[in-house]
Amino acid sequence: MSINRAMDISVSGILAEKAHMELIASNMANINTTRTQDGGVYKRKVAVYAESPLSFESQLSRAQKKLSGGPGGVLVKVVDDKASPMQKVYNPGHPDADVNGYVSLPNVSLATEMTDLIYSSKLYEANITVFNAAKKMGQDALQIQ
Amino acid sequence: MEIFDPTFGSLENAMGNSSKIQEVVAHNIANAKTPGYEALKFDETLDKAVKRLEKRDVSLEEEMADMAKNNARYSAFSKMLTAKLAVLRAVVTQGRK
Repeated sequence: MSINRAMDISVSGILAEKAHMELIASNMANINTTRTQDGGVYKRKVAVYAESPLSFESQLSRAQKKLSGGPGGVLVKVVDDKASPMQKVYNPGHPDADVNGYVSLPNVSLATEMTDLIYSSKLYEANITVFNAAKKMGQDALQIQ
Repeated sequence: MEIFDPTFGSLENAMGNSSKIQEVVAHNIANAKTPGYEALKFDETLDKAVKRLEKRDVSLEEEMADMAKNNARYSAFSKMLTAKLAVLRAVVTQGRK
């Protein structure tokens, strides 16, 4: 049933935003972490979103091969941010300081994380609104008598 | 004799299309942050087909407006079906309750 699929798609969006917010929480909690399990300084985690293609049963879209397979929605992958540079802070007393007395701190920027967090929580709300709309449509259909 | 006139079929189709539109909106909103994603749009002239809008980001406002319109239409369709069924019911019960 199409309404159920619409709801599943919204759930995938909600879960994706939740996963992103978990990453933001991890980044914020580790903003000063210099030691990690795999050694070295903590690297900022980034969420990469990928579309899970939407499929329709119609012959036309199948012929065009544009939208094949997949339940629709979005998928999230976690990647380490290796591109942006680590922050160097002069602190010779720190046990992880290098020979020149500089400590490498994670490449986490508080401002970036906060803006990402606000955007994520807004999109979380938007997905819930869409979900509720689909739910209302299902209830309307049940009222037919 | 035809008990269910073709309007029933049309209304069912319209409701089916409405739920597809809901799917497309849900898909666009879920992919609001997907890099390089081009928003989908349900094409009502091509029955049941979706097309990808060239170089158009997901616009939350537009999607929400589309969704509100679509929901109102779906509600209307389901009420019309109920009304048509009420007429049939009145006929088969000869107006008695």
